[in-house]
Amino acid sequence: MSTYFSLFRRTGTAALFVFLLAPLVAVIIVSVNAGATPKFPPEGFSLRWYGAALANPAFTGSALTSLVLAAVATALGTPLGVAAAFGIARGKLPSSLRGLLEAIFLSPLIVPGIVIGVALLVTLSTAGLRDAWLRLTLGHVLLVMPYVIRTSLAALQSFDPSLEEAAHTLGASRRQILTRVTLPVLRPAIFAGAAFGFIISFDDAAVSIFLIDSSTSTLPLAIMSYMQYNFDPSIAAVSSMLIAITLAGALVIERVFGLKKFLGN
Amino acid sequence: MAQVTLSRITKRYPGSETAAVDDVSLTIPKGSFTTLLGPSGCGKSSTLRIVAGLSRPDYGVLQMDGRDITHLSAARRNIGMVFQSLALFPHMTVAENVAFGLEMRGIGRSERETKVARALDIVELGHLAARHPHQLSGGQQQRVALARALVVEPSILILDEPFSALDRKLRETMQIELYRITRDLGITAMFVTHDQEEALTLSDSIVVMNQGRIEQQGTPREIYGAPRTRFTAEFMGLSNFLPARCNNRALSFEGLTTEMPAAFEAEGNCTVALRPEGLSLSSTRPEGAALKGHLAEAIYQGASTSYTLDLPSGRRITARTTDCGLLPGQEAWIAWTPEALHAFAA
Repeated sequence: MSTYFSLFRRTGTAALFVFLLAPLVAVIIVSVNAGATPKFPPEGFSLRWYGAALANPAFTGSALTSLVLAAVATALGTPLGVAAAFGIARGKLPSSLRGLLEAIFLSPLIVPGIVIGVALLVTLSTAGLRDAWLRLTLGHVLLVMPYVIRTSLAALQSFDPSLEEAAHTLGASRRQILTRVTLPVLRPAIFAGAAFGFIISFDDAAVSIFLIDSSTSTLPLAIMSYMQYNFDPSIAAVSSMLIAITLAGALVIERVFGLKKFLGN
Repeated sequence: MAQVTLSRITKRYPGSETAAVDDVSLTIPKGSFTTLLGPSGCGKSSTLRIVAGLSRPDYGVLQMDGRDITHLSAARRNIGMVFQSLALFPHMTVAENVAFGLEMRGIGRSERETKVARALDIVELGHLAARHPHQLSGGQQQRVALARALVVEPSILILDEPFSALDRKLRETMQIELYRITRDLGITAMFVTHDQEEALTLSDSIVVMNQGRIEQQGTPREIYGAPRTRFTAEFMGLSNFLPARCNNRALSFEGLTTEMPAAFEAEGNCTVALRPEGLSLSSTRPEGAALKGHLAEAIYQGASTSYTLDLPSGRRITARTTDCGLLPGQEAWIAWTPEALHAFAA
């Protein structure tokens, strides 16, 4: 019976992998299509659509925007998230308030992006903030923060308080304890949250679509808008490049920190 | 090295009816190894944290060499502390862990390196200086924690149940090691444990604590040989408690009258305890004081056999002795060595 079960389980696992990976493989195959339309199976091999994608200023400009935006949002959201996690975990708060604060800070994970986008659009317009960069930065800080808070909070909750006491008895001041012991011990968790936040920001379309203007767009939105008027494999080429970059990033994280820690174990 | 004095130290945690530390006065002489011994919740760890400066007493004065340090920050007390969880910094190497306290004191790199090397030599870990804590065995981590506490040449070394996570064999090795190091360096040490054997092995002086108060203080011999209260007696492994009366050093219990042992003081109603290891059994009446009992149970345990006997009064006595060949159901005479008989008030 166990062999049947094992066979069943293996088939199921294989099917799941095919389901997850087949679309990605299909995109990569389509991207090297020599023909003018994204057809499957492809009509011969060519890298011409990679060239076309890289020569298209709508893609390169928006890719740069997305990268800078994700970097700025992560740089701002990470310290804010860490500080919020410290407040929630260490502040002298009644436990009901602690739970409420945690729920509010983590709410961008649950509230649909489109709702956040609309809400930000209305609020920022009322406040008179019309600059696309400023609006996108504010919106993306909101996207990054909950990931940093979640990983930092988990690390703080399993943090051994005697580490700080040990540093204190050895003569460290509060500031030295924070910079030499607490933050270094939390570093992998903070980095994991920041990396996650970066990817989420880079990938976001739902929030950004309400915050861009005619001259500033992000890469996911550029892909969407290109697809409305054109139908050629350069989209597949852009997607394949994104897959490659993401994979490389994941490999780096795995080598440096271990993906398990990154995904919250 | 310094002498540490606690005067009337009291600590009550918010929301708790009773005080965690209740009017504790205690002197830890320079160069002495003093152990706070007691069950969990007896206040020993709270007392230790107050001495370390990690917790403030509500009342009382703490002095180091006559100087009031009650409100001095832990960072400035010059203590070395070994934590129950060891609290080694996971992101630092062994050498960096040990150097941390020196760095915080602003000691220069070359002097730091010399001192770290010497401290690691003392705990025989010089060859592992570049490793990280998670690459070490439990015993090795233990030694790093000790080296980190010793390297700052602390006025007092404070140890909070440091061996509780180790297996028995390693614990015994570490106890001997700690004994050797503290005596070689003449260190003033304050140790906390709930393990009476550990306390007896390591200490110059044992302070037995119960419900936030000091139950008894003395040398290991005094605490083990002459416990003054039933709590201390039970904690030191005594059993076979029998009600007794003492009248002008004549001690009567179970229909027998004998002389009160010299080490004890009691008058009127009191309690007698017979140490199970100090009893012997025989089928014929021995010379001197003895009780007659009915052998109910004999359990062979290798080095000794555990006998349970019913006395005519209905009370039970346990004797742990070499196998005497008596079988359950037989009558037996119970005799004891002079050291096995203890007596204390009520």
